[in-house]
Amino acid sequence: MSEKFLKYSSVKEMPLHYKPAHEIRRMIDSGEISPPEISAHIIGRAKKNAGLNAFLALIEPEGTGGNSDGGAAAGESKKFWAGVPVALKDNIAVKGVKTTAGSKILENHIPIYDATVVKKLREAGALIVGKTNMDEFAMGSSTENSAFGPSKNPWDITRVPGGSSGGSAVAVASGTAYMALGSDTGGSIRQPAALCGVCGMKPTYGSVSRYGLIAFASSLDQIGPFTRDALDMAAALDAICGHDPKDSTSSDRPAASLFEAVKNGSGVKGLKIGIVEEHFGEGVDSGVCERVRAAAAEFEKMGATIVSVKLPHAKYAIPVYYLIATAEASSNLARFDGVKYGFRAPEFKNLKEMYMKTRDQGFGAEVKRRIILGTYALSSGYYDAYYKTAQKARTRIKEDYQAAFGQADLILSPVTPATAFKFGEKTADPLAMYMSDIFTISANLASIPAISIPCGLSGGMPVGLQLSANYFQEKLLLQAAHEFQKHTDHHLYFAAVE
Amino acid sequence: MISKEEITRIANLAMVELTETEKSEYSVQISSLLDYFRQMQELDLAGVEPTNHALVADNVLRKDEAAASPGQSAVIAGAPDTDGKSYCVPAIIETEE
Repeated sequence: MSEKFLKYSSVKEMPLHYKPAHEIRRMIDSGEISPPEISAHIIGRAKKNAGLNAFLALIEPEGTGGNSDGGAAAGESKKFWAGVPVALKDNIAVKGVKTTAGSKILENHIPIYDATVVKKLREAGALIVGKTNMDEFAMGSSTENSAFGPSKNPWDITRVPGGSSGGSAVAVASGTAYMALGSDTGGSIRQPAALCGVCGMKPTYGSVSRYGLIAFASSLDQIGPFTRDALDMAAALDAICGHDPKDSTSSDRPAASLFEAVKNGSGVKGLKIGIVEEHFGEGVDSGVCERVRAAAAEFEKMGATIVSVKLPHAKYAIPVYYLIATAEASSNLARFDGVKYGFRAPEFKNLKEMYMKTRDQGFGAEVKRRIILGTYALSSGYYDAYYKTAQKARTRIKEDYQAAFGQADLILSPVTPATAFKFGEKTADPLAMYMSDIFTISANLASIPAISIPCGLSGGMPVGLQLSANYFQEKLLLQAAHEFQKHTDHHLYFAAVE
Repeated sequence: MISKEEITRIANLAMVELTETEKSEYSVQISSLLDYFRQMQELDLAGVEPTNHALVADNVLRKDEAAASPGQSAVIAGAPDTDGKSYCVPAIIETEE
């Protein structure tokens, strides 16, 4: 079998499109390359690889997207992201650019304002090159629920890239964006990052404004970046974190300056890293277990101590998550009624029929299934048995993490039970699809930060390592991830995309 | 087991029309999901406070000051049916037949 991947020994050796953003920054600042050259190269690649279906729309620099010139004019080039091409998941509002959330019901939706993260990226000078494909309304783990066709995993195009932020993961993994934003409600950043061999992070709930993010489950949704390495992740969080009066759940803690802190981190000596034995048990692929255990051993070699921790309520995470998330979704998606924006069914007899037909024809099967499940969980007679029980169990899950973080600084686990699955493999069985989120959803329920970083290959496909930390411990998390990448080369493997 | 009739009732509450095939499918799928979810019932949750807010539950207040808004025509521009000033919808109060 021919090698399906590329491996580089250093960033210098990498082709332009696979270099990390911090190297692109250096090249721009030293005059080795200009932002227009980079954007032309990246957009050219995105067009050439249109078959991966990473993008729902490309934004040419001179197009209607209202892009800045990248802030890359002379004298303004010191900002990290100035002139660097980035992509956005299509549930993030960009003024004047079609924003569909992967749904037919929003197929012609053009926002009249920028999301706060978009405003912040523009201020940072980033060049937004496109909107990326996703499972409809971020509901899914494979992008197979997109109304515009699935994205393909660049490591093996017969396999899913993961989801729901699959297009963003594919963009960063295929060298068609240096950074991409996604949203993570139950693993929708970390799971595709793991399956596509890139870094993906869900920050602490409240650290990134959700203003302009099309809501799925408001108590769980959080925007976060996909990047090539931990240093770029720190720079991406520096650009997008911070208090926003337009999001009432936004944290007013001052955002830390992560990039320098992570770059100059002092290693992991003395750090206690927790492992939950059940994370390596039944149902978890042996290749995944092996790679993740090897990563734990690597941390030990670097001076960290591995300790055993318990998360006794983790096994209830799937029911708790799917009841809370669908309940919130059924309420959030009530706004799509064929009146204010988007699609309206062409034929109806009265107002109620207009609503019902619009929502039938506008939403895909998984979205409808979740609206029904969530409406059921909230309906009279079932509220206490399902929704309220789930909210109480969520409290238990949060308490578990607080106890575990009393014993360990970080928790290390797999991101997914297996590597990328084949298209169609799980579409007929919702529960099988939901189980692919088993290791990621607890972080959303507990509101804590968690990152997925590459930790090797199994059967030629990438395996993700998840590190999670207590609230607002992003610095500690990224310092550990960066230290791991200084000692290992898993992040230097790429899909062989022309 | 959630019957097809129950799915129809819930779909009506959620204002989503479903085909007969979808009703049968969802009845089977949602029943099996709920069966799995019922494992939560083995938990002793007496006296546990439900998590109603992700992290903080403080009210966020601001000064009652006017701020710029996008304007009527921009707001309704994306709607499927307008008269240029308002959203248009089918008659809400129906005449008796």
